[in-house]
Amino acid sequence: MPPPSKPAFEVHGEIRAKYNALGGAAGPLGLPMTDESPSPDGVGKFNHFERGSIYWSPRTGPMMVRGTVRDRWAASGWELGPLGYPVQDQHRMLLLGPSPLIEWCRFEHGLIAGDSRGGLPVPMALQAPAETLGRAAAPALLSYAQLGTLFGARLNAQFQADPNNVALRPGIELTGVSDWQYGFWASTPRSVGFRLRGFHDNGLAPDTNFVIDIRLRLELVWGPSFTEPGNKTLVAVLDQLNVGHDGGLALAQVYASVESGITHAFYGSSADPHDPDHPEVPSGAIYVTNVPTGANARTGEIDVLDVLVTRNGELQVLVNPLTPPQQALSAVSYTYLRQLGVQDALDDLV
Amino acid sequence: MSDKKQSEDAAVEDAHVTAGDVYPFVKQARDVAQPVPGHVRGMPPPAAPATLRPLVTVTRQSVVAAGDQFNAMAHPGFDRASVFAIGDRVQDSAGRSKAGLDRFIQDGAFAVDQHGGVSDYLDYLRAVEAIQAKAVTLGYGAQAKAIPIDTVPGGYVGRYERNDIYAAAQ
Repeated sequence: MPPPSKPAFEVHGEIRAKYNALGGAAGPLGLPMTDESPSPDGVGKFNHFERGSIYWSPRTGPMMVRGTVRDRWAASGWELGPLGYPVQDQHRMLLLGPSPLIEWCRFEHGLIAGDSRGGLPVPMALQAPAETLGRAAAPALLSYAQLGTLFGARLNAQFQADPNNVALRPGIELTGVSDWQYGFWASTPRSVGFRLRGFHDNGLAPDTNFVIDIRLRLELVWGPSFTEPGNKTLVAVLDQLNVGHDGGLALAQVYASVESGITHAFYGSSADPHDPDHPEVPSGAIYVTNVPTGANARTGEIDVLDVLVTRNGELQVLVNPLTPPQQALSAVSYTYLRQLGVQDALDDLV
Repeated sequence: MSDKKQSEDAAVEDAHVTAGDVYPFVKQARDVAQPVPGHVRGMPPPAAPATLRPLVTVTRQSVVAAGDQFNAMAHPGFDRASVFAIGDRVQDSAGRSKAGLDRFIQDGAFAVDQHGGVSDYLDYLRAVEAIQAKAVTLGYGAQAKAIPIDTVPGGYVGRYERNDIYAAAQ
């Protein structure tokens, strides 16, 4: 039997589900140009389409990347490069009017933003020498230890306000960072773990000592908006909580009370919004800080795109590396300028 | 009988045949309402030439009206006004054929190209062949040809149990 006179390509599994969810052939990707194929790293799978790709891995899920963002990712070595797999479908900035077009896609280890002039990765360490324009700035971040200090202080303030003779001891341990976890629409971000110790004063009886193991995920959220919001909110989502015995008089009711108190801080006792001052904060999360993005829906300018917890537990703020749409490309590295500006704001936070 | 009268009779007969071909129910009505005794091609003409022309006119309209009535009884949605005359019926039929072809084209099944050919239909067949061949390689066996091939923007797809297989239109 002679081979067919035209090629046919197949999609299946999670990539098929995502492709159909994005509109299939009528969506942004167009028709498949390859069969589903194994990634060179031996872990993931991918399909290339007329106008983009969907990459899947068991720890991230199926995610779409396209356009100049995909071109720059391909130039960096696809999933084998420094950025790893995409962890969310490519996002297009919501603007007032048809142009300019600014898109970005977050990956396991960074982000690529692109417009019609091309794509650029952040943090700056992922840029090629020609892209840094000879300058270098460390990524805007809070270290893991600084995050521990920040959340330790938040929990301590809650305990100090509690009238039930409980208190935290000084110090906080860093218990490690999880990997990205599978998600269909977006991967679940890395969580950072902390261990705190405290006690309950039992009066004449020995104290009840307890240990708190808590894991938090840091994300940006925002209220309903038809355009890219000018302000987003950094929240800490409760990923895991365990309160256990740590010596002294064992009293189960103390452990339960401490666990209940912390859970209440994240979920509240009423329906959403559980934080009336910040209605955008979802149930299961606490407000950390406001993040001005600098987004202008008319001009397409934006400074802050997203946040990322690294493998080392750092909270990086991913700035926009692109030159503003109304300005010609010049010898100014906007990654450099924005990273410096955001770092100043982070330093004020701690 | 004059040549003129013979041609008029033939015209009536042709009109009946045409109407019956377009709408079979009319043919039955025509058989019931035979207009003139012996009015068959090749038979002697009737002996009342003075009333022939009005009779022909009435008969023609009666036959068509009877056919319409029959069709109306058989098909409640039958539109009498649109097919009252034989010419209208032919035009209406052609119009509906054109509309059906347009729908086919809109559905993407095939399109008539500028030379009156059906190149897109051949393209569709090639896509079906490619999709089914791919399905065979994926282990679908006899089921490969049992799945309908649908049109999508820019091409065709066969949606199998575990795979969607696409082929571009061009």
